[in-house]
Amino acid sequence: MPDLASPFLDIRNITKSFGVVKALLDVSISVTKGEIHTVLGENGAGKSTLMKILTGEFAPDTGYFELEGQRLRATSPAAAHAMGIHMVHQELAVFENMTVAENIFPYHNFKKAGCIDYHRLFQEAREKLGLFGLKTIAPEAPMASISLAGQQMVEILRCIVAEPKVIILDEPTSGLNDHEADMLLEILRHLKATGLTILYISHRFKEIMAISDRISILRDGRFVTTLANDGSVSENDLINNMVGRDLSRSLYQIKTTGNAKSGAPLLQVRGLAKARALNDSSLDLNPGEILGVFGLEGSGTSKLSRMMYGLETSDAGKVIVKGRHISPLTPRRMVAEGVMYLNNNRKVAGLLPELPVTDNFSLPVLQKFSRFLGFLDLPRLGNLATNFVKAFAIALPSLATKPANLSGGNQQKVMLSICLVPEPEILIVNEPTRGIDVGAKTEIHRFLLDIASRGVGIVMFSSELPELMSLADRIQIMRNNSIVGEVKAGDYTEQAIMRYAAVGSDNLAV
Amino acid sequence: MLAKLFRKNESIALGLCLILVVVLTFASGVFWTQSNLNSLQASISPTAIMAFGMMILLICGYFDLSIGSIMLLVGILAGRLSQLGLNTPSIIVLVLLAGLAVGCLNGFLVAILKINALIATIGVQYIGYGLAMTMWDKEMQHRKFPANFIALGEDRFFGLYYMTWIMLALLLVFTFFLRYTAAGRRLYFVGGNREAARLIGFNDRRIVFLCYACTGLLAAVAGVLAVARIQSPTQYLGGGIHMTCMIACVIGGGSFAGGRGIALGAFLGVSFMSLLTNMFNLLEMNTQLQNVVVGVTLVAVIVIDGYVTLKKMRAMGKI
Ligand SMILES: Nc1ncnc2c1ncn2[C@@H]1O[C@H](COP(=O)(O)OP(=O)(O)OP(=O)(O)O)[C@@H](O)[C@H]1O
Ligand SMILES: [Mg+2]
Repeated sequence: MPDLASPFLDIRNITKSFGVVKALLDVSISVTKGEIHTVLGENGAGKSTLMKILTGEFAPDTGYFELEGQRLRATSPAAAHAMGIHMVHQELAVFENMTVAENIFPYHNFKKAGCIDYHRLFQEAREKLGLFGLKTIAPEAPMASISLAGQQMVEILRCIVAEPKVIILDEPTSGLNDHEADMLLEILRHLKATGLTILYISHRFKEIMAISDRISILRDGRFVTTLANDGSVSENDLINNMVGRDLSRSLYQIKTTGNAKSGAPLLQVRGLAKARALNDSSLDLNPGEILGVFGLEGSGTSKLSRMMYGLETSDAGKVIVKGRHISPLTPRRMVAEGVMYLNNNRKVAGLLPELPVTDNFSLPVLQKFSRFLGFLDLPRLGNLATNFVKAFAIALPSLATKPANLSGGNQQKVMLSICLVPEPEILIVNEPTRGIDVGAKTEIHRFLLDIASRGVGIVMFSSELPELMSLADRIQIMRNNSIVGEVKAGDYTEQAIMRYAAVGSDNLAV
Repeated sequence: MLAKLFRKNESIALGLCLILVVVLTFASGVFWTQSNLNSLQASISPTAIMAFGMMILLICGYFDLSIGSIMLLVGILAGRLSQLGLNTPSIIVLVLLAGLAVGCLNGFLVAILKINALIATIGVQYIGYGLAMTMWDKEMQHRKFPANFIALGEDRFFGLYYMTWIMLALLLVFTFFLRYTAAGRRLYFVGGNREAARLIGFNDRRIVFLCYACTGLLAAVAGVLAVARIQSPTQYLGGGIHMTCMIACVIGGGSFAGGRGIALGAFLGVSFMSLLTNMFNLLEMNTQLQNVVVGVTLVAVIVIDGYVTLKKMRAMGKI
């Protein structure tokens, strides 16, 4: 147990507002040397904002922090780096145009006779990748060529090799599956053993309980309490402090009976295949059914989801919606047939971050809501948006806010709402609750179950097994670009599913 | 091996240059004559020097439309200063400072005030042009520069013009800078993901500012060499050269999206443009067709590049 007596990093009375939004109100947190200190709070509670103040991205309105007894105020990320504070951001900050090695060592400290020593650079990068179990990633590979999870690990590696005093990880596991997350936690334990102080943010209670020494809780920008994770606190204690009310824990009850409505299948995928990407895959979705698809990173789940929606071309196979063969298979046709798709990477696609939230909502319904001469029915749109904001507890100052200024979890909620606005009959969702806090997650789960009970078919791609097991009526499991098995509600156990999924699983490079 | 070479962005420009050289060698008897090689050097060298500046900006994700007017400003200012009787070294120092100052103005507008690069550098283009023309009078074109000034454009060393040696030296410097120095690599980080570059502690504003300043200085160097070559200032100096440079850089592997390109690419792109002009002149073809060829090449290069990238992504299973 680290020495709790002397604060190593002392955050003092930090207040920060964005216009009328009070993101942080007089927050003080003490962090000791060598501990893993988790900061917990609902979406929009101010976690990322607090961390960005530590790294000099935002200037606090009032307050300061002390590191090793020195009173500091980082004025830029570079200044924070000089103090030994590094951060892995909630949204990936990688350079796709550069090699993996340069993403790990962007400062180029390996020199020979004044020149960058590329040989040494690649060698050191290979060594570091190997050290963290990422042998499959080649240091010479372009960053664009590796998977999202791989990129996330590379970004973490970049912070670690800078040998910081404090490392901040803002939801580092939200893009990783369980296996990769475990790998990361292992790395963090190892780093902690070397005396590194870690500030950790996550919405996944399992890993919070597994790894934290202490947990500080924020609610609506205010500091609530710091709890020591010494066995005396339960998940429920944390949640109560976080939301300020008692949440009935309906979350993650394993579904025991499938409840698809009978009738002709809504969606049939037949023999979808593509060389080196996907082997002959077929699935059926019935009305009112939630069909889960699970697979570890690189198992082909994301390719299947993209190909069945026409986002990527396939070499063979067809997609049939309500008995009709969709050809050519394009997202536009799918939308017209009442199929909506939720992307798994909000940074790349899914939101127009610089346009007001209402405009974002109007995207899929521009045609449907157009009236005379193509003018939009704005009042109706506003109503709809307001409803979703309420239903999912989206924390935003007004509908005119830009998604870029929302917290990560709230961006995700907006993105999901956009898919639901046109009232689809079929929904294909990728990691629907990525980065979403427990309270809102329950809401979203309830919503998905509700629309399914009204006959909507949902194909749900998720790397969160408990989530799938509590929602899906059937789970199909993918491995090595093929669907390798199916488990039905009633037979769900993690072992039963992982038995199919896990083999050759630590393949992070695509 | 050949396939590997072809994936390099610069190989298209290299291939195009080789094709033109081969065509010109066979189709024209005068291509390899000394006087033609002289005029090729005079056309390639100043333009390539400016294109190095354009390339470093493109790598950062920016561009500069004012370089032509900096060139003009420098040429006419040099004329004025020589009318006033200044000696050659002082003229050169002063006009280089002027170019640097205009570059800094661009940098200030774009990097510090965050004005859109298109608007800011068009503004500066007009300012530069206007200033130059207020200093201009017709007398100037008949007044030659001092002999040691003209020597910069006329004299040779081992068979090549001084300006060619200067250009080659800068090519080496920029190649080395972009590949083997931490400062040079930073440009690629900024161009690849500016926000992320800021987050990992790079001062993107300073980097972009310095690139603009450097580009202004390079345009001034090119301006001095160009007027030295024609021996007296002209009001037509630098017209359209910003477009030539941008097109050359894109053909040579640069991209408006930022994050890629090398100095050699700028050189090859400029060489292609100059060889093309040379071909139209020597073979007495309709020069209007030259614009068509340039346009087609530009579009074709971008299409080929897009296709190759797509193929690569496909092969990696990303699409
Ligand atoms: N750049 C900004 N401009 C305006 N408002 C902002 C900005 N960044 C954050 N906010 C607001 O500050 C509040 C706190 O956001 P923050 O990103 O810190 O939340 P968070 O706790 O990290 O949530 P999440 O778990 O969803 O990531 C939110 O209400 C958000 O809308
Ligand atoms: Mg956040």
